[in-house]
Amino acid sequence: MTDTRSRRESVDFSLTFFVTGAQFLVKKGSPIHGINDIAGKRIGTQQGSTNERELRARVPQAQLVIFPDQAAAFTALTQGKIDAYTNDGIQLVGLKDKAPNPAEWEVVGDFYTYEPYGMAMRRNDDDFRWLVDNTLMTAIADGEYFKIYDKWFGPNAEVHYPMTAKVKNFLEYEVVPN
Amino acid sequence: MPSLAGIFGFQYALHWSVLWTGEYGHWILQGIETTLLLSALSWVITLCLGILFGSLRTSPYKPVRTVGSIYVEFFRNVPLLVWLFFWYFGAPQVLPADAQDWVNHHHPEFWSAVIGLSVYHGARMAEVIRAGLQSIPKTLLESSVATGLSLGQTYRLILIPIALRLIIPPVTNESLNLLKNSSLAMTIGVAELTFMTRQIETYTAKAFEALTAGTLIYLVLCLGIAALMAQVERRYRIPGLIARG
Repeated sequence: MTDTRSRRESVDFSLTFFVTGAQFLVKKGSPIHGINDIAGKRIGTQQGSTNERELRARVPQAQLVIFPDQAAAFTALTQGKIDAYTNDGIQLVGLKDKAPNPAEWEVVGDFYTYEPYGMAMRRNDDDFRWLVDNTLMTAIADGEYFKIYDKWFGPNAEVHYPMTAKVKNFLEYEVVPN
Repeated sequence: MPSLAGIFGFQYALHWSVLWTGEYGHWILQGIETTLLLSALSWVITLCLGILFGSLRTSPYKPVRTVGSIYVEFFRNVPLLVWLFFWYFGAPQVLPADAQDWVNHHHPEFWSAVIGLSVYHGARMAEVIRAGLQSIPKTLLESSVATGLSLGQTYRLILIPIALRLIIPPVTNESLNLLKNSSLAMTIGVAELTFMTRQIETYTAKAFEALTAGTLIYLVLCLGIAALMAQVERRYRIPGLIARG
């Protein structure tokens, strides 16, 4: 779940364990290349996502079609009912790679939001949050985290989502000394 | 709310103001508007389909009865949610590409919901109207035909008006079902009231306030319609029957 300040009023978040941003999933050859091209187009979003909020604020001329789940939105995209589907980059790459014909789709656009993923927990449970954070830090420090990342998002995995050097740096800096 | 916190040990701080501050209040109003529009349009079509197919099912001619039966059994025996997905995702696929394109740019979500709700509730309403028609003594049909009216005229001028007056309680029931079932339209992207309450819930994480608002609004809308239909029933009561106001 994306770690946001307003969500922190209701839940606690662990350390950020993944970084992505919002992009667009379109049919190959679509005229949409990023957030500047979506005015007047029908854009599918997932209900309640931060991307929907951001688009509503930044591009009010875009026609948002809001679906309760990703499957319905992707079906609508394949049928041309929406011109693009927006969600976090990793979700879009996952959808694309699992589609029957991945070559038909492309993920376009620079990240128009910053989505740090954290694990949401019940508020005021400091011991549990410490346990989660400690485990994450240990995994990053001894390399276990990167092994698991490679297994699921590496070059040989079903969903190929390479980690940028910036993100790797960020994760390493989250580990505080013993 | 200190009293609640005291009695139940409530760990949750209530903030009712989220419901009417800024854009959230506006969303709820838009949701109510969409729900009412969706329900009203569907209700009109439902009544027409219900009267038509209910009458067909009571016809003296077997082929006509069969047509009515096929419609009713086909459309009421599939869950409404499946119908909504069918009309939104499935049905446009059989159209030629140009027609599909036109459909995709003219609010397909809303109109698929209207069609889905109308045909499903039309089938249920047909059964209700049929019950009304069948509770009229056959002598009335025979005497109408004996005065020279055709079968069609008999239905239009005599039987249907009486049937509708007899069968107002189940019609009210079905109408309320229609209003409540309109909430299913959110699964195909229609921004009606339930969708809006969920939207507020995800934006503010204030689930209790948002869902309470949704519950109360549906309750008020349904009670209002029920009260209206009670007035209609009182006004159009057929004297001499067991009807009580």
